[in-house]
Amino acid sequence: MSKRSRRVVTYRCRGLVKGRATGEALVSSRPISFLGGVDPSSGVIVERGHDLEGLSIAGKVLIIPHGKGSTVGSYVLYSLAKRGLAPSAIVTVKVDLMTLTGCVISGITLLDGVPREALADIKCRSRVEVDGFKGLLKVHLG
Amino acid sequence: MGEACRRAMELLLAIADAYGYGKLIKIRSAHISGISYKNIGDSGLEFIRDLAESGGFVRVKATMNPCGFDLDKPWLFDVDEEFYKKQMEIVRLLKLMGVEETLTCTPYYAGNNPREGDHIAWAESSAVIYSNSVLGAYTDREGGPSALAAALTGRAALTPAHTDEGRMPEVKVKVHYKPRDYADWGLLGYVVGMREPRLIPLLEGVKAGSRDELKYLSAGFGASSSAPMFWLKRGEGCEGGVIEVDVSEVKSVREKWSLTRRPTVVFIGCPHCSLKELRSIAEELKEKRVRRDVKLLISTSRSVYERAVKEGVEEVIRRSGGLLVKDTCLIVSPMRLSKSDVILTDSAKTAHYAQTMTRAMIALGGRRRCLREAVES
Repeated sequence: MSKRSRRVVTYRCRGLVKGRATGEALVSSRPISFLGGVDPSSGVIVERGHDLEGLSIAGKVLIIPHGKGSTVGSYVLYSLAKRGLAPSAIVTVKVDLMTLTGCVISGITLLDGVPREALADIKCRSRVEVDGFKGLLKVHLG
Repeated sequence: MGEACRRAMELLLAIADAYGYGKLIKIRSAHISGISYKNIGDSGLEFIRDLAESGGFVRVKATMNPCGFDLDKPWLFDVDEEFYKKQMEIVRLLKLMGVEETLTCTPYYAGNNPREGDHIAWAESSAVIYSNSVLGAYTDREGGPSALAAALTGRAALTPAHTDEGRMPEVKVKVHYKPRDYADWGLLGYVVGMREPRLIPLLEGVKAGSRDELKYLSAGFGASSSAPMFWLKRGEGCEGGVIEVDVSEVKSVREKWSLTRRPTVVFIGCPHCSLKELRSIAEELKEKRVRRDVKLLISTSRSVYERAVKEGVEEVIRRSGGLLVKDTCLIVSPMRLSKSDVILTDSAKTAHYAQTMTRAMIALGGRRRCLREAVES
């Protein structure tokens, strides 16, 4: 469902938590556990062996298949948000209850329904725009 | 509407949009998980504090899951000062919002007893499965935050688990296995959940057990499945496929959790013991002595504990050297368990979680075996 217009690719998704965000994409084809997988005091991914290990989710647009693990992960997102360390938006293929809850209570813009292939196509660090009202993910290429 | 209620409503509506029919439904009760400081940490405490400080108060009967220690015997659980203070703060804040200090995973033994057809919003998988499958109530598998939000609003997201169509059995499971004790019941639920972890099963060939047996079946099933319930009987049958579960599957899980060394901890009470269970444990422990090198931990709810004290059951267990505790369990307490520990339990759910949350060796045995291993011969 991507529409190519010059150097922007747009994905039509479902907006689950309203809001707008712009930032650098942090993309993984592996799910993330916020409880235990992300350091709540810094926002750095600490899950051993994860392809994003060592990178911070703070201020990024996190694009992942879904969250995993305990619903307590919602509270980790909440803590991060209170310290200004939360992602500016999260985009998932299929949302899970933990990520949904975490984004709602923390006011993090959330989309789901991005096609799985997009996880391979979108490069880390590319500039993306997220519109939680319209459910749009725009990726700037190059 | 106060600030806390508004935030709670926002969460429930988002869940209803994502997973349900975009609507909320009135509920009769809520049961809230994520109480132990060990589980929710500072982040969870912060969230609960913010809700309490913004004026949150329950609209329906609401009960609490277990916390990190028995509030009257914190020293049994390796609790340090920080843990103690923060745990007490979590409980205090929830009480301030009107949540009853039940501290149990069996709220149905503690006055939160839904009737058939009631819509409720419960977290704690074993209690969810039990209330849907045994009591005939309607609840989804809520998380800690959504159950709290439900308590503060008296509403839950209307999801398939709240509708008759959404609760239809999706797979028929022919069971060629006769559970003999509580451990077997838990194991059966666990094995069924492992086979088809997303589907609602209709169990065929299982004779409806006692309430306590079904409690263990529910807990085992909830530990391996993400479905909200199972069926034991259903006239119209099931449209989905058919799978078979026989003794060999149960045996292979049991072998993984077999006892090869002397246990250092024997744990009974996941889910929390009923009074009936405590009576029979006391019967077994009468005039016996728990070994010095074994910690026999039996956990229950405070409401059952009080009755056990009145009946003298608690005294019998105490005199034997067994530790009858309330408000907590092995998994949610910060009790230090090392690689050299061997935990023997009769709960498949505890075995399942203990194997990932501790480095101890895990063994599953029947209740009699558990008690026999714990006492001097």
